[in-house]
Amino acid sequence: MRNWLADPTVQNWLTAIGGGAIVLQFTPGLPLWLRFVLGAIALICGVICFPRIRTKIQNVLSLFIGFLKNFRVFVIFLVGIIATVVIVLPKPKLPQDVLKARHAVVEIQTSMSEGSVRSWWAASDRSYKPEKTFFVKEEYQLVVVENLDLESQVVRTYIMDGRKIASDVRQREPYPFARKYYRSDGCIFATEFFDKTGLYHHLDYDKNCTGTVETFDLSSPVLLPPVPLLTYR
Amino acid sequence: MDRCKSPEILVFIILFVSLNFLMLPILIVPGSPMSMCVFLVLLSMAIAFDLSELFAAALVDEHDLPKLDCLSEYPSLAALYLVCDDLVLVALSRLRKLAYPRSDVFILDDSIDPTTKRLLDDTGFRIIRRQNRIGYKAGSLNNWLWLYGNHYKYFLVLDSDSIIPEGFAESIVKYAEHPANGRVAIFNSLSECWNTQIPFPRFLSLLTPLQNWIRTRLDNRCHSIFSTGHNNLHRSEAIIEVGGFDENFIAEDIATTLRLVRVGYTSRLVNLVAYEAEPEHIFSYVRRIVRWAKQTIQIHRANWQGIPLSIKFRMFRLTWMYISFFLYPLWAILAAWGTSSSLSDVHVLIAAVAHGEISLLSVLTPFAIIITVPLIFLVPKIPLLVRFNIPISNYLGSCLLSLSIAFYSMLHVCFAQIASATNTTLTFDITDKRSRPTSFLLIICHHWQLIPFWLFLAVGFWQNPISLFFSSLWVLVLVLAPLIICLFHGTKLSNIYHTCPELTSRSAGGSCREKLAR
Repeated sequence: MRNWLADPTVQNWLTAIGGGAIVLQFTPGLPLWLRFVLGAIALICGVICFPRIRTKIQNVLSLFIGFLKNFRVFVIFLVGIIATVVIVLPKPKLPQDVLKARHAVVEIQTSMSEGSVRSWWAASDRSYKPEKTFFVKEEYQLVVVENLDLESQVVRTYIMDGRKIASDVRQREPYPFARKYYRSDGCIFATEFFDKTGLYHHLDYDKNCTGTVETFDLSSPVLLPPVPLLTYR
Repeated sequence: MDRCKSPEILVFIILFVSLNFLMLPILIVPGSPMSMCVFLVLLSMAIAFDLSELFAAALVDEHDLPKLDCLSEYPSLAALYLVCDDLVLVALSRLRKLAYPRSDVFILDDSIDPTTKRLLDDTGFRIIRRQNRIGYKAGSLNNWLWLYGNHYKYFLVLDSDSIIPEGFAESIVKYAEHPANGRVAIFNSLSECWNTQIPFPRFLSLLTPLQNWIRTRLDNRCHSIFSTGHNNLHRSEAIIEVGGFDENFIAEDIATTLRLVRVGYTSRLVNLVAYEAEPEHIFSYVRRIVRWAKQTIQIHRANWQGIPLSIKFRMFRLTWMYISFFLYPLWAILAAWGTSSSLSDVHVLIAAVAHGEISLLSVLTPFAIIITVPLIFLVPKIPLLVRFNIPISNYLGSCLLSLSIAFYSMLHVCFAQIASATNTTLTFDITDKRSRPTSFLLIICHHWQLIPFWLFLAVGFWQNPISLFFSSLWVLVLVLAPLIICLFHGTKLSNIYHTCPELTSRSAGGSCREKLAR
């Protein structure tokens, strides 16, 4: 058995498989069980080939250092271009809350795929603030669509320029509650609240801060058309 | 000091910077992830590398080395024919047509196969054999060099599939004997494929005239080019002066060029065509490309101090060509797993498109790029295709075959590069020149590692139908690659021992092209 494992061909393969398993860990959106499997593969291969891996890492480092030394002009040029492009290119400039919501989507998807969505609720309850304020810049056509799903949870979808950028799921707050939305200039944008009877009121303001109230009965599920397109993981 | 007069680097910089700062801001929408930006920058580099050669060549005229009109006396010349269980009888028989007065043919044989040895023994040429294969090709050449190198002013290096046309030796010596070329140690020739009667090599070598057209314009404007390793003339004195061929690297040609450049010699191109065989089946082709990938990574362990920038630039481009193989699986993984969508999204999207709601499609720009990228590579080459009478349909077929091979071999090439980076010593894997039956099943079985990779992608695409929809073109080629490759092999069993067409000495673009049966 030991001789078989010490065979250089086998060790080369194990090193390649272990390395591949580590590289695959960088794949976004992998389910947790698959990450565990990949981690286990990398660990097993690593344990078997450890002295060999150490030598191989040294070889890679020496090659890399040599490459940087000999071709530094090109490397500097390439890194410079990438850095400049990243700096110059248009930034997402998303409101911080939306960015947070985007991360929340990944968390939710991960938790839901493992059937532990409840634990996510428990964890997020602490950070939940009913008076949370969204700053919305006017140049973005941010639309927030709320939908009540079958478990009476509020599913909030953020759409910017026709593109779904994030969605957010939270438990419906205890009644009554109210929430206000402000633009970046401080002007009130909208207000929403549930009254004691569970009716949902949405109040939109125009430029003169004159509000228009719409009232919805959310006791039955309201299914809005799904927002198409991809969500970046 | 680098006396580079080639516009290649300048054109590359202009193209690369233009693509980045003019195209990317339009294509990248706000909110695109960083990985998309980096991917597109790397993609623009690939485009810039590919097109910079073409555009730079279009800007300048042909540049050939000076040569004598006739030889007053014939310097001694040795033709070295290297074999290692890969004998090609057609090429061997051509050695008798060297047609040079003061020449000797040596067969440097590292074969183990008794049949090959017997065939070589029957030729009547001088056979040089070694007890071992230390140093591989470089070792074999050095063995001859230390035994006979001093007796010959020049020597030609020929691989087992090399065919030099009649009059080639005399023509190339005319270049070497010109006083202005006194510091040129290696005279490289242009290569063309001679086994074009077989479909697979014919499609592989379709763009050779175009590549030669570029080489005749750009190569001699650089300080020095890398030795091609075969079909080239060496000045014995120079090679002996630098201690022979470098045995530490599989790419002995590149390593030896570096040695020569460091002491003031150069390696140049002459406008003469010699012939070689392209691999006749995919297994041989992959074996060769894997070796090239390995040796390209390994050569970075050589001493590059004092090497001019123009040579380093060519090495950087060559390295990029192989490293870019990592982008293929990376792209596939990102396309399958990088985003999420559902079937209802597909329905809504189709409905939106049907109702003419174009605004929704703006976020799909990155996918539109992936579809339009091939056009960027294809369109600029069309004028040259017309010039060289290459039918567009054949060119598209060649591109499809190249893409299929790239997808088919990507995992092997990536692993080979990792192996090369993690190991300091490598073995020289000789290109298989034997005929071999090819079938769809054999092609699949030969690279079974693709199957788990496909399954991994399939799981990702299962939960991401929109991405699959927009990547369908590429995914189709990726999945059908073995079938496409199989179809390009044709029904006829390949055989490298076919009689090759009549070949005569000529320059690139000469009138004898028709003699190569395509």
